[in-house]
Amino acid sequence: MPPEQPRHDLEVYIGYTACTRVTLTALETVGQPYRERLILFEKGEHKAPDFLRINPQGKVPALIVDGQALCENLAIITWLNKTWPEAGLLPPASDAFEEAQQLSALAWVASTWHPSVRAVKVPMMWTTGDTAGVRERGGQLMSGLLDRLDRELAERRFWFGADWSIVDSYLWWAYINSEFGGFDLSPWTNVARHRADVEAMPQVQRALAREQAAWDARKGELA
Amino acid sequence: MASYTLYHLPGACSRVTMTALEQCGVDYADHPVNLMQGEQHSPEFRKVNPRGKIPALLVDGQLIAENAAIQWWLGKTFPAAGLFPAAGNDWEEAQILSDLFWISSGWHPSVRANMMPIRWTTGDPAPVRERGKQLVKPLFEAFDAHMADRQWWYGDDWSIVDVYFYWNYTTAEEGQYDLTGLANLAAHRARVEAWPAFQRALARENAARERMANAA
Repeated sequence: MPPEQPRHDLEVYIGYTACTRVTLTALETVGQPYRERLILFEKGEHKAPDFLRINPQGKVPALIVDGQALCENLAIITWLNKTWPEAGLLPPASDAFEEAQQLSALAWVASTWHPSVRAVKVPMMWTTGDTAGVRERGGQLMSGLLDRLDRELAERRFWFGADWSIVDSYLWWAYINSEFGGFDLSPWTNVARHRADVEAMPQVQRALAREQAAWDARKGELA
Repeated sequence: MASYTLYHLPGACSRVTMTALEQCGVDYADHPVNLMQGEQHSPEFRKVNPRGKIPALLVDGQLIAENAAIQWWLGKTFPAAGLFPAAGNDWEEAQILSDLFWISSGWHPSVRANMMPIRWTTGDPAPVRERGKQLVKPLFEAFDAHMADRQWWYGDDWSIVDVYFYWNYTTAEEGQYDLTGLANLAAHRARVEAWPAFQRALARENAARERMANAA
């Protein structure tokens, strides 16, 4: 008999194509049952009192664990990894220094990649005026980050080595969203290979299917 | 005792990292990196942190990058220093991480739009600064409301998170954001400025500024 798994009631608030894709992928990797609630930003649901009671910042993802909310991708990933370590969200860390390196990688994506992607994909997030300069600046920032990632990935298949981790899905989410913003990723060949490797992961495919189904169920409300 | 070297810039968010080191009471060397002169792109600094960012902490020659990750690691390594409230379990620890990374990924990039709008555009920085004001306004107002019934973010006890918030709102002020009217935030600001480890970090920054001026 395998040791008994921790049991928690899990519900996640997501947005379509948002960075909650990473959260969904983490949940699919863990393999515990969960419910997803798609927030329609177009209808202002993230500013609705019901949602602000869950996350006063009006942001997704929010993971509700046994009725209590946890916000910020990085904190959610860390908690899932601590609770179900054998799922392999992150490589096993033998000490605080190794754990700090994992947090550092996640923090780099969250605080450097993500805001830069925003400049390319939704430049009006960073200006009340003309968006062209923001988009151009976003392209410069993304190029620098992709150069760096491409060099790293020349030496190994995934961010931490031979095995996928949730950091790979977070990086993947960031660069494909810049492509959604019209940014051309073709110069970075190791990144292209990484993309194919990430997209072939079963938990990534399950997360995408789950997100798509949630969207399909509600998109008619926007018509 | 391990050796510690902090790469930083006086006034940058590395001020928070430096305050954390001061709070932990460790001996450390500090090297200012002149971002205005592009020193973060120099081959020497790229050897330290290939991402070209500060703060960067070397521990016995090994790098920890990203402010929040450094703060977390110092908290684990020096638990008696009180950088964070004692977490009773993984859930409580995750809530602290949530705050910490909310500041680094939610607050800091928005403050940057106020303080350094040219970081987010190749064009006219004025509408980026304007947007930055829109982004930080609800953050600062929510912070002010949260502080109405407490001394520090977590209640009665100081934590490094207080200094991280402080750095963000004072940096937005340098970027022409008017903090007038946020009385609880103003009281919090005065408390942070009176905190001994913070004052030691400022003194250390000033010494680094002098070295930078002399080298120029």
